[in-house]
Amino acid sequence: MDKRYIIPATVLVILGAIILFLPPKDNTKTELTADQLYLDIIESTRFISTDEIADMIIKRDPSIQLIDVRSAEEYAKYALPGALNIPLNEILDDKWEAYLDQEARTNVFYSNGSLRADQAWILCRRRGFVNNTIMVGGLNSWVEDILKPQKPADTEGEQEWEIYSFRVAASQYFLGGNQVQTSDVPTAAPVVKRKKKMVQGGC
Amino acid sequence: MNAKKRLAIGSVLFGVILIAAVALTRDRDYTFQVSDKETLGAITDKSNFISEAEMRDIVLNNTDNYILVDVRNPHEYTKDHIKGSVNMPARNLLSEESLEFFGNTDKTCIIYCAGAVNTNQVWMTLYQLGYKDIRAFIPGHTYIKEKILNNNRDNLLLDGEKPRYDYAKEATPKEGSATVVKNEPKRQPIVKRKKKMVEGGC
Repeated sequence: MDKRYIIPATVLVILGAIILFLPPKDNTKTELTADQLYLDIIESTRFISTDEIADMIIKRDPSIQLIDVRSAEEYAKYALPGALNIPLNEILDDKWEAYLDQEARTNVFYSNGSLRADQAWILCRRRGFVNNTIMVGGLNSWVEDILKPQKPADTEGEQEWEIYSFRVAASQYFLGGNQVQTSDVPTAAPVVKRKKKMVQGGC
Repeated sequence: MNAKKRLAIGSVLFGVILIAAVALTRDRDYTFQVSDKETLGAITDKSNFISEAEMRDIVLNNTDNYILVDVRNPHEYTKDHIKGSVNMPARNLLSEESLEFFGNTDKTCIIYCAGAVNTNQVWMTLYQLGYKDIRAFIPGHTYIKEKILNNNRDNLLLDGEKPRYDYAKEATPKEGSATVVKNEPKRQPIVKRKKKMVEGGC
């Protein structure tokens, strides 16, 4: 054997041995590490405006699923049409996993503000779940933007006025719709029916 | 002989560089130290958060046991910050320098950003990484500035979780103020709604 090849061959064999004993990359674990999660946290793409949500509800967009992360009591008093109640303290429970870890729809988390919804989102994202978003500002913004839209100043641009006219139309849609619920049937009734539909869709 | 020597030196150098590269690019371990279930419990545990009364006391009476950590960006910090606070920008949160700071302070850190959501993001990230002696002031810098220091009595639109309205009441149409034009579209959804319910039930 040619002696010239002994040294490089030895080096390569040693390197091979090192590579052999490196820790294996674990692909089965879906949980993110802090740096991966934090990259997603500082991105603001998960936030959806109340206007976009209102538009999607009015158009009956089947690709979104509203998820109310407030307590069951708050949910029973008032919830957005078609919303499913997953209280924040149950967000990690196995029974909700099929709703939170899926690729068919975009979930929209909401609470009274943005805080609880964002906490729910962070916990879900850490587990590797995708397709979850947040309604920015929560129900407080929902009331201010959609149900009680404020007229923009006369000096505002055309865009502001377009948003305003959409909001006025949206508020008429939602206030009219809710009147039916409060006068004829208890608020919870239509929601229960919705839930059934969800289960069927999931199968 | 000369060629052999060069080859040997080359191989050794190659090996050294490769090993050095592997060692240097080894990332810091960012694995979470606290389970998600424990984190969920911590979110609702009030002891992790500074109340408004406590914050008032700390800012006004300068309690020595705490260190105020402003995590807004350096530009905002330079423009205006609470006296005695240090700046650890949220965007460099996971940098060596910043993590060393949070790991080595002997005082309790009180972190706050501009508002609730950003403050919570930083706090939750640090908590899950296992930094325990850190508390958050959720309302954020604007609240300290306006409510505590400037004694502003206006209703600030802070993004808190407190409901600002009775939602069920806001969602019912107002009587009287509705015009004839407004009444018309109100009836239409009644028909639409009923149809929807039938669809949903099928």
